[in-house]
Amino acid sequence: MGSFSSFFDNILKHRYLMYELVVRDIKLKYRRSVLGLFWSLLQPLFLMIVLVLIFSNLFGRDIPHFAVYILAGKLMYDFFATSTKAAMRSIRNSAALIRKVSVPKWIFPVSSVLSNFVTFLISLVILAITMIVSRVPPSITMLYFALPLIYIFIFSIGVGLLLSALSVFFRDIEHLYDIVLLIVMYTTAIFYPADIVPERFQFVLQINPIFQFVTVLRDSIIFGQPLDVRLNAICLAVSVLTLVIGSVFFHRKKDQFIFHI
Amino acid sequence: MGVPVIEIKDVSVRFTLNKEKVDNLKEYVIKALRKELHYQEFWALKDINLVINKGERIGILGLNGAGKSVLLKVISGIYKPTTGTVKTTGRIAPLIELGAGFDPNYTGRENIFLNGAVLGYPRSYLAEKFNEIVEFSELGEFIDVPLKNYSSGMRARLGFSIATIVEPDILIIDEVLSVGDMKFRKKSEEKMMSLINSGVTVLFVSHSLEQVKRVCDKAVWLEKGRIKKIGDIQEICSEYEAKYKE
Repeated sequence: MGSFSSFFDNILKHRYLMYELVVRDIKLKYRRSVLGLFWSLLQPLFLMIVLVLIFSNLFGRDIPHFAVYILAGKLMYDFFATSTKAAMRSIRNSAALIRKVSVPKWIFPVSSVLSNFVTFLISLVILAITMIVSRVPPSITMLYFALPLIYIFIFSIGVGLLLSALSVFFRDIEHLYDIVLLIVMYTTAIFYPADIVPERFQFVLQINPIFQFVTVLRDSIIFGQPLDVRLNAICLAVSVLTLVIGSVFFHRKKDQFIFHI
Repeated sequence: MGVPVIEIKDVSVRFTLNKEKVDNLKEYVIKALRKELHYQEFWALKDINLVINKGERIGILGLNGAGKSVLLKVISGIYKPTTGTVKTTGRIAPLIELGAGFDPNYTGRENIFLNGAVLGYPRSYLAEKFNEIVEFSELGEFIDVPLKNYSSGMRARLGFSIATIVEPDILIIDEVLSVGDMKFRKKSEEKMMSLINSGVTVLFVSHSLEQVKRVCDKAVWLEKGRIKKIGDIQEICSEYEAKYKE
């Protein structure tokens, strides 16, 4: 498809603008705060401590390295939630710019997800430290920890593109999405073991892609499980499919944005 | 025979306005089911055919609402035409509104790079031209102050300074020449004129007929989204003046 190669050319062509937008998002996020970038590290740390204190009696005995278990789930979910929400608002937020200059519209949701991904990666430092403190036994399976990160990144871009386009036409998408995120959060098994969910409700967790991505991450870094090829293939397929759907929808609607913002 | 740099063929731009603003999902679904979705069509441009050759300086005349800004935005790629095609050759510098992408929390320095990136310039070019931009803007130390602390005049001066480091093939100017105080305005006009005189193709929209007559050699007269007449600048301007003086 001719449009595929021009798709990548486009990304290359606008890489400087993407860079500037991502840098701006990150710089301004911390500019006025005292803790600055440290907040990316401290916030998940505090949250994890609180959750461990609350839930370790309930579930801590069943799950080894409970702190790492929680943190892995929390960080992944938080990245997905904040990046997709930021992407959702990105077109509307950049309305003034879009009206004045011809800019490729996809840059806004994609740079939103990208800047959140960067801060997500920084927060993984805490995960690593927690693993060391919890004395998680090193395992060769840790090598594939990057895979779920890739899946969730691609997936979030797809969802971000879709939401940002919808949000231009329907303002209440933002409220609806808050509800969707709530459901995703509870079905990602952040602070409870997946098997306490009764059999007939298991499917709710299984169809949640974030749950699957988190499972792969946990298998890699906590449980030392060898790579589940089938699961990973499905994760990759779902992520790429979502990206394609999001991109196509966005591409179809983007020329009409300017009439609605 | 000139080399065409802008070719506009059968271009029309339609705005669809909902009779009542339906901008949430619930109402949309309900109205769609009830077949109550009514749209009002508004053709901002209709059947525009225009060829502009290299080096020509075209003044675009018309009353408010005639479609001048829409035409410029279609040429710069901000609007996609509903029908027809726009083909442009060469780099377009639209001086349509200044300071696109300015972030109020960013300093002047940071905004130069951000705005420059938005306009399509690579970092190396911006670094090269950085001092020139700051000098032209006369902002001095304020360049490291966040934009939200600037006066509107300072913002305009910065926007203008960045916009004019262009080395375009096609320059599109939409009434931006009146920013700043007398001194800055004179400087801007000189800068504009030197750009214009360097042989770029110019599209100029202004309500000031004197300005248009000074700068352009041809004119396009738009009325209610259609081209009323195209011709020599003096001719069209007199006709235009005559029509609206009464």
